[in-house]
Amino acid sequence: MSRLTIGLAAILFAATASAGDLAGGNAVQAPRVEAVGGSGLEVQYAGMVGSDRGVNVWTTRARVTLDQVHISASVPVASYPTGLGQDIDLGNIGLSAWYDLPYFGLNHSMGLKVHLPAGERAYAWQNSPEELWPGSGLDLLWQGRFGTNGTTLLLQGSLGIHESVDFAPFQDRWVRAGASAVLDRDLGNRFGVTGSLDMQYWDTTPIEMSVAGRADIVTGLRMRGGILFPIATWAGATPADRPAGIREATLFLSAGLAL
Amino acid sequence: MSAKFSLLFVALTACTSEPPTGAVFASPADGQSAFDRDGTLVVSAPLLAVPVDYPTPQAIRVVDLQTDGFVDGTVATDGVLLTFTPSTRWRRNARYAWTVDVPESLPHGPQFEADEGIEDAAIFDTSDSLSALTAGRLDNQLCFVMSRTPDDQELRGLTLDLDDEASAGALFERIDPELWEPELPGRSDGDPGLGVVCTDAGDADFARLYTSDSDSSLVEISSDSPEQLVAALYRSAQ
Repeated sequence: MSRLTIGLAAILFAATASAGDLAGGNAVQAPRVEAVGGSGLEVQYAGMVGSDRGVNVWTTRARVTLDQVHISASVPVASYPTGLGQDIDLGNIGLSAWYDLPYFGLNHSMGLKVHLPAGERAYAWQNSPEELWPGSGLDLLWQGRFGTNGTTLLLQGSLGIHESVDFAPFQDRWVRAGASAVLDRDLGNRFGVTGSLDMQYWDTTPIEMSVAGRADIVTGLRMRGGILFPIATWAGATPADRPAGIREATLFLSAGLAL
Repeated sequence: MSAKFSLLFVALTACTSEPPTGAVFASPADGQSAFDRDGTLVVSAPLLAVPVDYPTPQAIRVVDLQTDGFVDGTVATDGVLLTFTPSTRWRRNARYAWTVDVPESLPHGPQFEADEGIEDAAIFDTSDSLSALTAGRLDNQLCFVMSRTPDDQELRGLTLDLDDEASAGALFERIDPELWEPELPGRSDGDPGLGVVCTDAGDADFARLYTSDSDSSLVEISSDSPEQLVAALYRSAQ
């Protein structure tokens, strides 16, 4: 198939429906910002690339909306390096509940997110300290969404307390405050791009940016792919004994089905 | 990225927890004899901080000095303790060398750091041989750290040369372990440990201690106390 044919097919594919129809309840999201709203199922892969690669995470997430309440649950499975090669284990289960607040110039929601250990020995982290290393914690979140003409600006703030077990190279317990900004733009009816900037302290990756592309293949089925840049880690802000340097980034791919 | 920017973020992440604390030692002590054939090698190293069940197959390596072969066994972690249990009993009348190798830290995983001295090589044996390992001073007495505690008959049979001159009539006594033995939480059951014997003797640089007609040990006399000498043999931090 020639490049021209592929290009024409892509244009026709993009023109067959409106963006709103095809999204089918798939809300805007980013690596640190979960989709709020709608019901569905998502599978995500996040793998590290570069010389400090080795941690790969597959996460299954389900979400349900009941009127103004949105509930989600996620289970990560990680493959990570150890002193005896790669190992695989469950990370920490994430459970979150969001409640839509009255409209106040923007759509916004309050959320509560907990994570609980499911595996026993995933002694690793990718970007978030609470995702894999056995531990538990609680975050209080706020998320606001502004949208106009195919552009969505999403802001999120969080405050939480976390603990880890078994000699993590970071605190046994820590408080984290975080802020994220996500800008999402439709590109035609089926496609879009999303960029995010996140800052959080204390965290294994205090500052990070991501860019991603998305495609609504058929109504309700959204594919995403992007890359996360751990800016602060590159600057040497990591619990590992590593000097500053660009040695890693995280590729992520996901498929989300809105129900 | 400017150096100031890098330093700022390093400072932001430097807020880690207090390092784990606790006894630092590796047992059996360097030079110890009469080690239990069912005994387990134990390393207490709080800074090493190996997570439970984290695979560290090479963290303790043991070589049989008669065969020059590595000894098969299992390395396990339990809190700050690292243990090595051989696949089969230690051989009778055998001598072994062993080392603690700090596992590799990972870019996105556990970070390992060795407590000072814990990586030094050491030997132990399963024979009943008795020898002096080091010598020091306790009050006005000359004290020897022995590879095991001598029994009464062995104690009476000890004779001494100081700087190659026979020291006739030296009477030795065992010293209460409370005066020299460090706290060794988690030490293997049945590990008999070391022994310390002392005698009244004048100043000298070297001492040769005869444990029988045919066996003797030449040791340098230091100004350290038996407690300090024993701690060093256990690779304990002072």
